[in-house]
Amino acid sequence: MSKVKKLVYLSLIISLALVIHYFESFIPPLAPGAKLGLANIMALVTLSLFGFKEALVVTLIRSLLGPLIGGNPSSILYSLAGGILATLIMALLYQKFRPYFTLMGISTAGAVFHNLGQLLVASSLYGTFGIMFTYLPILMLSSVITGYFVGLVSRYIINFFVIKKALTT
Amino acid sequence: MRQYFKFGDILVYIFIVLLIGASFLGLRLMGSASDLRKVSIRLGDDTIGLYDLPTGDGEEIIRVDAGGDKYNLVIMTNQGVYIKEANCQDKLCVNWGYIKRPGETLVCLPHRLVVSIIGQGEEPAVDDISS
Repeated sequence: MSKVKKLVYLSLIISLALVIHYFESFIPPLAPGAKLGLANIMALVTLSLFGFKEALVVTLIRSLLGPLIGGNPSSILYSLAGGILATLIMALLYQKFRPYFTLMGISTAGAVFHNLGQLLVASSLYGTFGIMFTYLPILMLSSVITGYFVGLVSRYIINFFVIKKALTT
Repeated sequence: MRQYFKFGDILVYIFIVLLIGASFLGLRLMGSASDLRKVSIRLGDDTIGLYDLPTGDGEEIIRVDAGGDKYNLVIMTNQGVYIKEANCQDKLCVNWGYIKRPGETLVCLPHRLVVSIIGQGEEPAVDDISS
């Protein structure tokens, strides 16, 4: 894949991630803080189509620009911490332990660490770990469901790209 | 590729269950260590006592005699403090309900009884919604 093509693909993916991030804010959360994490789809797709570095770039730009578009710049810290942690753990699982996990498992782990990162930031900002302990159970349960869904969607997207690649080359 | 479940996924779910367990454990440990609330009971100008809120499921009953046959039954649970029974005329203190946050008070004016929660914790905001 040429450099330009890669650049175009990555920018498209970032813009998709941003749009998803924005639209997600219209979906009311089931519990406070328990969001769908749909933008994780793009991180996972980038991870499998390109690699760790690219996925990290996509996540970083998405976490920086997403809150700005959504009109809530103060949540940059949360989304950055969550996004970086989620991408790190997903890359680790995807690149080292791929045979043992399904994409759903990987994205669930990503969702778990996304929530963990956000809670760590929240508890350090508020100076108490009580927040973390009270929110953790409900966030973990929600990340099981959303993680599975995100993994399933990512699998379809990745399969689509793989099939398309096989047809065109 | 068409597989919906693999061995490694179990590890993720085990990790989640462990985290949930750890957070409940942490909450319990924190709850007992960081609860600095105390219940102060005053009758007129005298302080009758300073009590800790009970941590378990049980409740602690304190009978306050306010002279004559006047009495109030103060119940302390881990949820908060309320007055269960009193033989004052207006029963305002009984109808008040629970108090639990620092700064809240139960008052029985006929008996000159003031039960308040003191301690380090967030004071209720001025225009807080009463629960």
